[in-house]
Amino acid sequence: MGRIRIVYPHGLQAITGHADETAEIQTPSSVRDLIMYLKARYGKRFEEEMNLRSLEMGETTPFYLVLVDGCRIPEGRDSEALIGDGAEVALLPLFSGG
Amino acid sequence: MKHRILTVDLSSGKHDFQDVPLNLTKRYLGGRGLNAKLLFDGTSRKTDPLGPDNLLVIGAGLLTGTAIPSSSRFTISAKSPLTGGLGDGNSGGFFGPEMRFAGIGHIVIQGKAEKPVYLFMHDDSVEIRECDEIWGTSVREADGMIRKALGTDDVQILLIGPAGEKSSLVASVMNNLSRAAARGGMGAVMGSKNLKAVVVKGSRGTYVRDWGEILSLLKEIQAVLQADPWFHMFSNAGTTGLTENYNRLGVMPIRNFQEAFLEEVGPISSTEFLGRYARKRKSCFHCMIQCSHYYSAGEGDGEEGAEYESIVALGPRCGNFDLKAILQANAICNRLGLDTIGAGDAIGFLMECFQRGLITSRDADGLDLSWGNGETIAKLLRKIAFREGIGDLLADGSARAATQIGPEAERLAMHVKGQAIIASDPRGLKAWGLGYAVSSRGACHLRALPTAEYSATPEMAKRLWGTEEAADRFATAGKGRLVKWCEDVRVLSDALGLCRFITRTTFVFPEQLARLIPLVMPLELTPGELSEAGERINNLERLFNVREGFSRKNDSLPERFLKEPLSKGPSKGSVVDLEPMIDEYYEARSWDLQTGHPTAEKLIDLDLGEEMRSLSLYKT
Amino acid sequence: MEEPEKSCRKKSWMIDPGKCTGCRTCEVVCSITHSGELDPGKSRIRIVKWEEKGIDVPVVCQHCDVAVCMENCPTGALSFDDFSGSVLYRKDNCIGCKLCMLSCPCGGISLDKDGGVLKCDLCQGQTYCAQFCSAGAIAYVTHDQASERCRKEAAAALVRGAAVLDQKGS
Repeated sequence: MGRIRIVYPHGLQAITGHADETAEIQTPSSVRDLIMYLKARYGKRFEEEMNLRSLEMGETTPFYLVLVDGCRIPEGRDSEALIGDGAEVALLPLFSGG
Repeated sequence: MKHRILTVDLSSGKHDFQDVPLNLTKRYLGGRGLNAKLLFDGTSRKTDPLGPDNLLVIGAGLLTGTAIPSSSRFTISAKSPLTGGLGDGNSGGFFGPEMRFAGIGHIVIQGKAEKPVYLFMHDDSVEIRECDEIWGTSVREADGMIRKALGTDDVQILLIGPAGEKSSLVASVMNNLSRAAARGGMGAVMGSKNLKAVVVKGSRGTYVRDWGEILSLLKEIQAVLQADPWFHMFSNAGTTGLTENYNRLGVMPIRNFQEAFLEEVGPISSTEFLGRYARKRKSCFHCMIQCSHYYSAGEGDGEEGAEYESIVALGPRCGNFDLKAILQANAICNRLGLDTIGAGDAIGFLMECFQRGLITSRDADGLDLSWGNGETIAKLLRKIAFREGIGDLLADGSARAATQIGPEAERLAMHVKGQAIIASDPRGLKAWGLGYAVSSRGACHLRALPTAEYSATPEMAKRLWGTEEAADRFATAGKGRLVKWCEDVRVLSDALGLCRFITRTTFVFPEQLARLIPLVMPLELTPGELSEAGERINNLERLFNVREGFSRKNDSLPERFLKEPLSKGPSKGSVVDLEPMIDEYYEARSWDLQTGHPTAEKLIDLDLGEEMRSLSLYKT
Repeated sequence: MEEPEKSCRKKSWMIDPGKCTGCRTCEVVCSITHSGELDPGKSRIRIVKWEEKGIDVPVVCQHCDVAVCMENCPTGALSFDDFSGSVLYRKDNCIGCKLCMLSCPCGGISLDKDGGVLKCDLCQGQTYCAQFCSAGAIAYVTHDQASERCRKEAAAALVRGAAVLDQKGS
């Protein structure tokens, strides 16, 4: 078991009830497992948000990017055990602009 | 449909209309593209940016004012007094479309009026009107006075404020009160011509092949906007929603780029803006995204806005985390005609100089220069606009101000080619750093806007830019190809007059853009022609700068980004390894690795042979 | 007196300036569908702005029950049309006296630069402006719906917890 910090963007705060939280989960964990855990915890609305897709530069991509300790974990690597004890996981809505 | 270039000589008072030659449209489209060509042809290395020979070129995009939605944008170009190279600013609102309703695609202004004047165009009529009593007034006051003088509200007005009149190199050109073509000192160029305003009224229509096609297109876009959550975010919060996101990546500049991550971003987030200050949503001409707001943060009338760049420039960059003070500072910039990025950068720079003991409060007219002092920020903005006291130093931007303070200060000026760097720290976004270094108008994120660096999949990165690392914001490989690819795609938005927010999905690529043109113009361009036009424009802009003496050595970044890693946040521990990225970029562009000059081969390939031969550099 | 059923089906504009973002897409679609060109000067609906105050107001013919414009027209160029339930304009009979524009209390009639006047004809029921208004500021709904909306919005403003209602209006 390990302790991780999860940070939620504005859009997900309304569903989870907080801006961030500490969670105790089995580590090392994969992004996929963590998301499944959160979906089970926060229900249908959370699941719908995580399933959102956006079109970016002509390609379909998940709307929420997952950052582990600042590094983005793309969908193709979401089953790798990359989340260790003490990690900070941030969910980031896709955006482009300046 | 009338599509003309209007040339006005403020020295002689004469003007001339010319139909835009078809071959120029095919080669450069409009907006930023055709502006660059007109500027290249009409100026020379000897042209003084603040002298009468500089051209101020106002170009509506090729699709601006047509039934294509989100196409309100226009570009103002000139030789930049800030960088010494090609300069431009881009804005939305309603000015560009009105130009097209008057049958005008581009306005080329040369010379200098003897006394303060404004230009008034009404379809085919062009008047140069004296305006002594309007010179010296704020943007808002001048707007009202001009409407009164003309007896109608049904005009669109471009204005400079006191900042432009005083030739501040961070002076903007404003339209619709709060919208700004802000970068590169275009306001100073306008002011140097004694030109307070450009007013246009048009009563013609723009062409539509078949209105049923337009309605289908609008429905198609409606469906895309409804389905894509990104558009929901932008429709609701505008770019204020970016604050939280860039902070989460650890790239939001704080205290002149000393840090880039805030533990508590709430006080300056979109939630705070929407909850406390936004009163209603606002939009540019014929747009379905409608990302703007009308907000109120104090007494008196409110403003349209606010933008992420402005919030950070006047906020965290100056150590200011009080959103109310930030929004008030934004209002001051709008009313005095200042580039929020350039002005905020100059103030943040000064504050770091103070922090490090390079200047004292006494040097700054007794102002308290500690980080985050909102009152000081407001006072400094006014001083900058009127060139009073320390404002006179800051009015030319942080790079020049630094040369007056000393070599230690020069390290603290966060600029490229004199243009202030924008609100994304390149130590956490390497391709953005490359983009700033090579941009034709100095530090700019919009030339490339390489968002793919964090949004693309590794598979897409490998396929398009040769390596999965191109989608890793900390990596160096693949970024040169990525930036070149992005620049050639993005330039089409600017030449067509489309907003970047619509061209991120449905209208990204030449194939999709080519489809739009015949719907609203009696003209067809193939995707190949569009693609080539994009690359041609980027190369011509480079050639303009080469003519001015720019080379590889000018494609640089401040030392801070090359040598000092961030100590906190999700982007800590990394610096920018610029040279390999530039190598890869030049290679991708077929530009000489040593000099950064486009090769003769490339220029001839893009049908820029004539332009190339006008430079002595290529006469061997 | 009209049968209750019929009058409930009559329709009305619901225009909310508070929602109008000033984009003028209504002017675009109105002019292209009526004159074949994008020309705000040919639009029957126009946005009036006070930019410094952030105010944007869509102004269009309100299809009054008692059409003052028609009553004042000396030539019958304005006449009632059963199908659309509104007053329609026919240029052939128009002499350009402008009494309709001057007498309209809604600002809904403007002068056409090619002669005659411009007045909303509801696009034969299509009301394109309402269809394409992204801000939801223009709707063309039944009288029942219009009254209901006004009541609901007023009630919501009074009641705490109004924030749970959809921002774009129901």
